[in-house]
Amino acid sequence: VQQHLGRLEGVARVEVNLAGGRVAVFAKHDSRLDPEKVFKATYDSGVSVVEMTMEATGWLERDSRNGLVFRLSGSESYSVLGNDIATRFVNDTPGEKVFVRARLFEKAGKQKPKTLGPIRLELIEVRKPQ
Amino acid sequence: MSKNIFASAVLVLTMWSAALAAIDRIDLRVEGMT
Repeated sequence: VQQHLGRLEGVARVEVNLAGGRVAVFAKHDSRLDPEKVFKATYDSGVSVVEMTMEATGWLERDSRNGLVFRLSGSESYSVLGNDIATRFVNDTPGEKVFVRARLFEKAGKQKPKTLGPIRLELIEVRKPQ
Repeated sequence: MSKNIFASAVLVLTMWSAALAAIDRIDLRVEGMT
């Protein structure tokens, strides 16, 4: 896992906790970390992902259809599952950059998907960046 | 001249802003790891 993920573009380092079955992938400064590639590389290494979360800084906004999105740049954004945390923050601090911790994937049943597929972020934490 | 300076300033600000918006880390819970 460490080798597969460590070879990916934008990865600074990979920390593996064998006992806990946890892997942390840290981004290089000024690089783009691609969740889809991380998911695929993990699968290719021979293990399956049970849960995938991320920590990121960007903007919580509403799109043209009034849906919530988390924007990293003009061309990169992820749709967000509406929950109390997201709605409160986007209403209270529109246009401000925020730090989010969010779930991108959680395994359901016995499926072992090879790819991440369409991402809908489930926000776990939202706060002002430090 | 001043247009070029303005354009450069906008470009720098755009790049600086984009650099601050990013995925910092991804955490995975996995099974089958030995």
